[in-house]
Amino acid sequence: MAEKHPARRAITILCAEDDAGDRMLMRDAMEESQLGDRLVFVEDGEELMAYLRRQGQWADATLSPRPGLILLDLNMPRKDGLEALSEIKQDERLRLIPVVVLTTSSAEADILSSYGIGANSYIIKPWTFDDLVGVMRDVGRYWSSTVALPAVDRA
Amino acid sequence: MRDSSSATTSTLTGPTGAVGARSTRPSIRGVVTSLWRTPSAARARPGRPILVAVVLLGMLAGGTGFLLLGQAQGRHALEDRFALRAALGSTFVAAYVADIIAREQTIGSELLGADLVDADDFDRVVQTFGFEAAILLDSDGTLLHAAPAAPHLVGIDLTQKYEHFRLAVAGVPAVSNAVASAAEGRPIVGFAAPFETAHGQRVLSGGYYLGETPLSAYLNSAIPFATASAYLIDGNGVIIETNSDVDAVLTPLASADPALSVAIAERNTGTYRRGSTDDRFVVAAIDATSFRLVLTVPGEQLYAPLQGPMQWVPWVLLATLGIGAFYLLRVHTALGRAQVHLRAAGEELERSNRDLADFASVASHDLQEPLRKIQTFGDRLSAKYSDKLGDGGLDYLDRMTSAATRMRGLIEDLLSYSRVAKGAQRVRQVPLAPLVDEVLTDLERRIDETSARVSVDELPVIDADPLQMRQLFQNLIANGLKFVSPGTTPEIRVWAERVAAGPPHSRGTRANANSAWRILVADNGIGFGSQYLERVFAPFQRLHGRSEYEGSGMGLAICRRIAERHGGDITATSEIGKGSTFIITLPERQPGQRAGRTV
Repeated sequence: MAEKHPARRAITILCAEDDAGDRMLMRDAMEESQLGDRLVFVEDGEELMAYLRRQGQWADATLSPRPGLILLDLNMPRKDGLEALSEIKQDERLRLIPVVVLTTSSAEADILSSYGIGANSYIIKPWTFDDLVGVMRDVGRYWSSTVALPAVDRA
Repeated sequence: MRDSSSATTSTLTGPTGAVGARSTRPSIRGVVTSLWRTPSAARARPGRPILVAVVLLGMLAGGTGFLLLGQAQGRHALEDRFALRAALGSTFVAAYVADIIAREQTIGSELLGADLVDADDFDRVVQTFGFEAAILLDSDGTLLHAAPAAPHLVGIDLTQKYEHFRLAVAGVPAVSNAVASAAEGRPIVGFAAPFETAHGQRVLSGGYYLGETPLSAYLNSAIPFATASAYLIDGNGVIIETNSDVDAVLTPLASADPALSVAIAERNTGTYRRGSTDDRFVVAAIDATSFRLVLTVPGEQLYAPLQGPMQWVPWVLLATLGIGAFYLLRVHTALGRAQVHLRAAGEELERSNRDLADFASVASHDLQEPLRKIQTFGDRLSAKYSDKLGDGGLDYLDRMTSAATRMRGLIEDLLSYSRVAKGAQRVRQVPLAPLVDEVLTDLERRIDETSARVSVDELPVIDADPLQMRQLFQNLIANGLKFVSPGTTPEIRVWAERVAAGPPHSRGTRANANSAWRILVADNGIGFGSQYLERVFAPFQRLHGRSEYEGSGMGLAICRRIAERHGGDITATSEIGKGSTFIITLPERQPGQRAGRTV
């Protein structure tokens, strides 16, 4: 982990994913990627917004640090990914958090609306586990160290 | 798979629902082949023949109207000429009356102007000038003389009794109504003419029997119709003179010809029913009198110049028009009904296609999701537990994941087929040569592996959806690389020929409608029997076992769909063992595309 990328600072990746199997795979992939980032899961759009706004079980800021990256599934119950994305990008305090859509959908409409609303990347969930590890590694590394992001109030 | 009822899957009831829904249908293949047809082909509109028929009927109606108008104008002209006769007649009568009055005034002024007019002088004047009867009135309307003598009336004011005397005494020449002469019962008309004397104004009123005047001759000869009748009637409607029935003289017109009498009371010209014929009549008032001249003529005679075979032409045309319009209406109604059916069928097809497109889109997403899990967890299983699975277990796992991969391929092909079903959407001018080059680049690895020789001749620039064109060539060239006998080096040739006439499915547009290209892709592969020609283009149809040649059986179905969506078609010639040539016919221009737009 850190020894491989000394300059890299571990971040919290907030992952909105309703599917338990996918959560398990992502956790495994994150482990395999040896990035050492903290992976936090929420299971739908409403929970995602509750976390970001520190409501309910997420009220304690020490337990719900501001994420350095959001991985967002599109098809989720209650509030789907596009709705959540739209709320995040309209919220002054949240809109600078990079959001990477990670979904099964390869539909042109989904890709267009995601970028239209302000997604920072759109990734179709890879077919094999090795590819998933690659995605987790690439995304985590890219948004935590490759790009320069504005300093934000982390409170 | 908890919470699988997300927004996308809500049209079905989650993946399990989708599978359930599918199981009620025979198979995806059945659904695809039965539903995926082109609604646009069923919408050929039958508007043009109707338009032509309407135009023809319109011209026919115009011609008929013109002829009818011409005839009506001919009738009007004849009627006008007839009325002119009456006007001339009345002018003649008026002139005749004015002449008599003028003569009387001259006679009166010269011979009856003395202070006292002798009775003998008066008689002499009456006889000299041929009056049947005469009366001389003084300026106050009292009787001075009468002939035949009427001593009992002398000195009596006659203006109270006779209108024409009253008028004449007031200085206006006037004509009496007809009276029967005492002697012979002939109609006598009195012409009362005022004249000036040194002793004031006097009135000489002479009575004439019109039957012996030029007037009578005129009425008898001046009317150009043999069967025409002329009546000169007085203010009471009594016939003074007529050319038709001598006995009618002095009888009221109302009894001689009641229908005519009624007709002229209402209007001055028109048609009335006399006996079995429709007669034209015209009434002309005679100036300075209460007389009227009435002319009548049977319509048949009046309109005789228009008679003959030609008179029926407009009516024949009109009948034709009616029959034509009737059938047009029937045809139109039938067409309308057919169109409604067609539209309904088209909408139904479109709806089915939409349903299927929805299904395909849901399937592509929601069916892939569990497949991906099978694949990925299979990866995890083989990576973490291979030692526990052993070779047998790993083999099972491998078969499981490769089945999942194959199903994924099927779904992806179904999805691309469903995208093509939505039609050529981004049509622009596409130079096919660089597009085929790109396809060859994509297939580079396979080409290298098989040492294939691919030659591409000059290719045209056509209106097309570039993505679909790319898919078309990709599928055809990939097939050429794939379906070869083991040990054979694939040889593929792509070339194009210009076609004079448009392809059969071409929705003809006026601009360059007939300009089309035939694009040929030939290979030296295994080929197929001609009995399979239809089958190779049907969705999910395979001619070979999966162990021999991989594939979903969708490739050529997609190609056909693409060609049809561009208003073209695809066919093939093939010989087993010798190779296949796929022939795609595509119009050069798509409807609504302007030339010269290369993007």
